[in-house]
Amino acid sequence: MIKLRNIDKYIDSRFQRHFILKGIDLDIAQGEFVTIMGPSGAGKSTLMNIIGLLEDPSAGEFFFLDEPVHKMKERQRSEIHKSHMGFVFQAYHLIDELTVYENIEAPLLYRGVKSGERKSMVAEILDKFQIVAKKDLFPEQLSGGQQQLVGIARAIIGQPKLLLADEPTGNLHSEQAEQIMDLFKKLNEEGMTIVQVTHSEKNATYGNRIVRIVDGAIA
Amino acid sequence: MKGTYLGEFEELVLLTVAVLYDEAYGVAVKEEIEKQTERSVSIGAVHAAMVRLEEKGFLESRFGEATAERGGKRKKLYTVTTAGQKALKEALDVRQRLWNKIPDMVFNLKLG
Amino acid sequence: MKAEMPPRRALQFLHWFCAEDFVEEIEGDITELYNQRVVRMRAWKARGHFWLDVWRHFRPWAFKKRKTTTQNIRFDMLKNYMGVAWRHIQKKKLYAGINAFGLSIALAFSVLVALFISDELNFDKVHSKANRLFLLYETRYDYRQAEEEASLLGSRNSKFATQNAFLPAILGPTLKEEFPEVKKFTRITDAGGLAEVDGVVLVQEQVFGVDADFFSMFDVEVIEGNPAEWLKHPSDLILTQSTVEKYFPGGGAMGKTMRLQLGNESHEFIVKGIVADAPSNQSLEYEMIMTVERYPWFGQNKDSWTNFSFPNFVLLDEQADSYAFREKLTAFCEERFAKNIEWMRGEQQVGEEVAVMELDAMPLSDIHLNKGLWFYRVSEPKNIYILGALCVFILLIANINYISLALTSASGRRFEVGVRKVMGAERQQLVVQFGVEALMMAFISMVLALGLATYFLPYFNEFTEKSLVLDGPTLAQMFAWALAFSVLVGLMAGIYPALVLSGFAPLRMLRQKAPRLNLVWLKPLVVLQFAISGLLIVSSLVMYRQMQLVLQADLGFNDDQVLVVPLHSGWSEEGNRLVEQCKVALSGDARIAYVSGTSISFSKGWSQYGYKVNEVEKHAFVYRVDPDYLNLLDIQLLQGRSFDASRPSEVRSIIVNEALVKDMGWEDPLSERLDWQNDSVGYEVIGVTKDYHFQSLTKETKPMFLTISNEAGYMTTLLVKIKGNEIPQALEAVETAWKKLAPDKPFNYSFLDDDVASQYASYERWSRMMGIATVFAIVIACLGIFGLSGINALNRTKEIGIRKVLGANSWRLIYLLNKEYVLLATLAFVLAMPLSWWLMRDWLADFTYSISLGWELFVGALLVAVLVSTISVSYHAIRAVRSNPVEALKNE
Repeated sequence: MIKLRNIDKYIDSRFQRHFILKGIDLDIAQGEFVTIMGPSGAGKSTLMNIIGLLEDPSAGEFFFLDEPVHKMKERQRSEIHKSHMGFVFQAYHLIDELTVYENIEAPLLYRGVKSGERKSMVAEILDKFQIVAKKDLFPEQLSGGQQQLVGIARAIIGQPKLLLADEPTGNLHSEQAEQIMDLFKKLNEEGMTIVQVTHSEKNATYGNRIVRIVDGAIA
Repeated sequence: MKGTYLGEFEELVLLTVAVLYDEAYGVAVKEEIEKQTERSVSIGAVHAAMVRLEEKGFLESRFGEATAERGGKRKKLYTVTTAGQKALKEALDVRQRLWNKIPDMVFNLKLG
Repeated sequence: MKAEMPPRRALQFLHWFCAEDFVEEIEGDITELYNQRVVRMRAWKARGHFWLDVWRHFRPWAFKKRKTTTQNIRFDMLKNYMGVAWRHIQKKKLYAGINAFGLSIALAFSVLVALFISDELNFDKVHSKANRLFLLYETRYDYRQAEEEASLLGSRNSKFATQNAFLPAILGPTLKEEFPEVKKFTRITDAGGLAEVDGVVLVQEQVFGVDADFFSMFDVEVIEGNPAEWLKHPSDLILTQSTVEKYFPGGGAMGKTMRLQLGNESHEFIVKGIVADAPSNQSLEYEMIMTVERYPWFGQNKDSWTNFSFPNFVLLDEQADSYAFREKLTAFCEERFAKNIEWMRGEQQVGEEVAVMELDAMPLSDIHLNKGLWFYRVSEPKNIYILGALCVFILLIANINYISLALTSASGRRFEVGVRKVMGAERQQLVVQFGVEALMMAFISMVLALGLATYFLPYFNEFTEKSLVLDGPTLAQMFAWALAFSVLVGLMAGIYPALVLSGFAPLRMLRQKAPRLNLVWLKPLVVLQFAISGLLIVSSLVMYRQMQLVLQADLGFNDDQVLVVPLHSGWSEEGNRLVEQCKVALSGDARIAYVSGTSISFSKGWSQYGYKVNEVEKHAFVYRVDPDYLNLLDIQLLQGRSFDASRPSEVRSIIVNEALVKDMGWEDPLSERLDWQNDSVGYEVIGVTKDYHFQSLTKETKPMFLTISNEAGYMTTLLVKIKGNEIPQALEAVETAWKKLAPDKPFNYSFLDDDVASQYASYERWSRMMGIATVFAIVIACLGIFGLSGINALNRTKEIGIRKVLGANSWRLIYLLNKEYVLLATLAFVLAMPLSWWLMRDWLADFTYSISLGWELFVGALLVAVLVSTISVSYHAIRAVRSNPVEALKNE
């Protein structure tokens, strides 16, 4: 599904080239649950951003579903975001001005899903995550764990092929974290490909492969 | 609930899709309904109902195999969604409640 | 058996109408059914069923381009956008309030201005024959005047032209006779008359004198009577509805008699018809209409080619070429006015090759905005530009507020933009979202604006001398304008923030750092805002100072506590007699200082005589006064003495002003005589007054003299100087005397200082208008800067915290936060100065006596702007500085 070949990411300063990532080769197959780990500043977030099409590599090749991402235009990227990717963030990043229901529904609007279908999809996922009662609340009225549940619901409602999670439990206490990780595991078992970045060895155990990044390279 | 109302014919189609389980496509649904109700049903009406049900989120569809008698066209196979199940259940409940409410004497009187 | 193919045409039809999503399923299913049927029944029957099946899918749900679904999604999207926008507004009530306030004032003002302009442009267009109705006018060229002006102003303008619509009465009938394209004509006269019903004298009225065709040329709404019959008889009188209500409140006006005193004549009239009141947006304002023949000066002038006092309208034939007609007027003019033209050429000592007088016709709809034309109700087209500019300025300021507030508070929305982008939102969709937000704000403001506009309409009418009423069509127009301006404002204000906000990269959101906005345009916009405010501040300061100068100027006479009473005696001995009688009657009253009279009171007109001195044409303004005139007005005599009523020779003496002495080049004026009657004897000069402003300050003091001779006219106005504070009692005493002396005449009076001030009424109105617009602009701009600095202070909380921890003192911090705005304001002022200097010099050019545009004005305005902006900024600065630095640092 994802094929990274000799990916570099660097910043040119006045006297030297500073590498954030260097010579990354990485393959992720459909159905995998990959955990990217490494010390702070090792470049794991950058790698995640590149996989998420949020940042361009400075050099190298990147294929997503065999399509060359490095040659894509803005619109095609937005198309991939729309139909193939879901994002889960450490800070949840729910839209404060939308209710739980509207937050989950939003990606479907951009995908042009018809009203009736949208309703049943949202209803289904609210049901699945057991947050039906919360659907008319605003994010600030929810606990962190609940917000992250909504965040995940929003990420997967478009039935993406790939779920990207950046420290999804970083702001949660252990009980909530466990609940979220269980959910990821369940989603993975249902066939979702997941890539997560985390510091937590415990969270890494939920996945089936660990990629360790040290100083911008895969260790 | 507005928008998720289930019409009589729609209910019939939805039930039939459920009955046919993995083999629910247009012609099969039409034939099954005709068999059960002993009424003739047009394929157009069936398609219209299934499109509506899909829009309401009660049905999901995928393409099946292509056959010669279909002129090489693929079948479109339907399955009932959880929302569809709920709607059917609700419809059944309403009927059940109403049946339960009928005073015994009503039908007795008619019979008598 | 060989499998039959289903009918090809039916399939083609299916593919034609059916949407891509369904076509394979449907084709497959009906083909399958067809193949089943073919086995059971005849082929044609199976084909029929196939057709029927296709037909049964020919339903809307299966059609291509199912617009309805995409529209639904767009609608849902819009709902989503609006929900977010609304909750943002609720969350940030202060900023939303600032925006709504500014935008609604700007919108309300724009709507009013739009109504004003559309009213001005539609002036006189109510008449259905407007395109065929022409007003005749002459253009006169005065080459001597032109030379004078040229030497004065240094300009090379060789023509000094005046346009005048007051022409001989004979013109209309002659044109109709000689030009086949002239179908109808009417002359229009306007005379003041005293109305009398059942022997009771009521107030003075404007009486229109017209020709009978008037009613078929102009659209006049008839309420009662038959216009075809009107004005056939000299005693016919047509009243407007409000005049009827005034004189015949009980109704039944038709056929009633009414006596009107016009000039020195008095006539009996019979009410023959009632018409609706004259619409406010047309040149002709009538209250009573009679035949032109009853106009007191009509009889003696109706065949004269040298008396210029009658406006003439003609109605051209539908097929007539108006340009050809106007061409023909040139030759006509040369012929008919040959004597005048010859005389004028002689006067000006110019040859036949130059035109001194031209006759032309002007379409009805061109009249109103032709300020140079001597006619009723012409208006200044400049006002349209002034109002338009004010409106654009205020709109700009309000828009810039929206833009700067939207952008400065935008960092809070970067997550939303980022999240929406990773959901797959395209930039264009985000632009639409923020556009919708701005439009929503504009529409909210529109509702407020409509209320404001309705509330302020009466004041606006007062300022602009309009009488706009919110009736059906105007209301509809107002809504339409409000809607149009809201959309315009929404788009103008929304587009830049939308482009900037939608440009946030999602990456920035993931990094959780505040994106550094590259707001290239924000500072220039704020500078523009300041510059516009500066321009308005300077302009209104200049206007205010000028009005102060004009109103408090030393006019050379004392206009305090002087009662002005029109004598209503026409141009006759009666006026003189009344003044004398009043003088006697009031002589014992201690509250009355002086009683006098004049032929023409201040601001009520003028009279100018021309005379030849050594073959040079000279002019002087002439006032017929009485001996107490100089004392009453406290006019200073430089030489000689005032009139002495006891000397019989006094009727042949005059008192002149300095300007006349200078004009004549006299060394010893008291030894001179002025032969203003061209009788070669002349009048003895007995005194010289210091120049005083007998005309408006917009004009230079011209040569003038006073006389007590009836040759210069009769008294028309009584002047009474009141001394002491008992003004009401004195007024009552005058009225009592008046009632005794002239029981048949109304007692209406004014005060001289009000009359003098009324000459500047339009300047004052416009300067007040400017003042109000400036206050609005400044308030809106201040609120904007208040909001902007608030957000900036918030964004710099951490910096302030650090500086405080490092030991910076509060003043230093407040200075820091203010510095930027003071710099921007100063820059803006430097930019705005030249433009405002140029504009104001132009405005002041109207006044002969004007303030100088000194540097202190501009510095004053700059100080005002800096002060106001400092106050708005400092509120936040002080709050930010006072906050606990530890809290501020924890914030991150």
